[in-house]
Amino acid sequence: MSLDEKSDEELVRLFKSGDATAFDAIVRRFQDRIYRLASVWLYDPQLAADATQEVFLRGHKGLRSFRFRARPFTWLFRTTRYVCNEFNRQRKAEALDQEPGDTSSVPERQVAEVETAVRIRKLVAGLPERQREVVMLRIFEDMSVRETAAAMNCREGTVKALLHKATNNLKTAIGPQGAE
Amino acid sequence: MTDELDQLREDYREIKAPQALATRIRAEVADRPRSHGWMPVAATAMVAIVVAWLLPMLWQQTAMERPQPIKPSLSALASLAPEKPRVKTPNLSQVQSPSAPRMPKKPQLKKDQPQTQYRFEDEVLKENDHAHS
Repeated sequence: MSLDEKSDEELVRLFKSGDATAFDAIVRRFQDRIYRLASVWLYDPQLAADATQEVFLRGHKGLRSFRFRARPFTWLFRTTRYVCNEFNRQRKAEALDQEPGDTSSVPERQVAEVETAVRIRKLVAGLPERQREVVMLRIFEDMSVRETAAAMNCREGTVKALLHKATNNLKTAIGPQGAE
Repeated sequence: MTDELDQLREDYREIKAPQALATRIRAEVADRPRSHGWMPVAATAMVAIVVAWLLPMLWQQTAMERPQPIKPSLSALASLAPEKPRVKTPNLSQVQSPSAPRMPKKPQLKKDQPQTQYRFEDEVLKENDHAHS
């Protein structure tokens, strides 16, 4: 069985036991998800890459003492949110009000990604923070209700209620645009 | 709404991390110095073990060296009293000032002599006789 076929928990166990290649497998498995979340939170592809790198560097240190009370991605998600908040504070700008910078020098693919991130960001910008997180995890990351609840440190019922409210708010927000 | 959301979700899934990101992370992890976070913990544990090993020994030593508590008794205190100097010291009676001269003896009547009323006039007459003689 190759490392890529192992479960998240098995990979973390291998890493904790000293297998350096297990950490590479963890990076390969989660880097896109972490980068996507960071892109939405930070807009800037370069900054999102830096944030993703920082998350995994912290993971390299923190996952050694991981106690399996939550899923590894839950830990990484929380770290991503924390790191992105730090990056946003460093930029001294409110992330929600921030527009992406000059994208003339970035590759075409990244420009499209930035545009997608901006669209998503604008879509969820009007939502309260908790509803925004639910939408990102449940709708965009396609996580289960249980995983979302674990990531947000709340009950599954709370996730369902927040998702219901968020969906209603999104309908109100994009309804008129969709009708145009 | 769902169409737009679905489209947005598809676009979102298209976002991929840069190719070189994994390599960057691997290089950064390799460059980072190994964590020495265990060192303070180990040092504290070491000190705690040494103290735990030394404390009973120190306690035993002090218990052995500790003098017995002195029970004050009169005999012990007497034995500790300083010796008197060998020089002869005068008695208290000698130190006292010389006594006053003795009073003259009270005249006593002889037993066979009849007791008479002592009269001051008689004494005066006697003295006068003695003076004239």
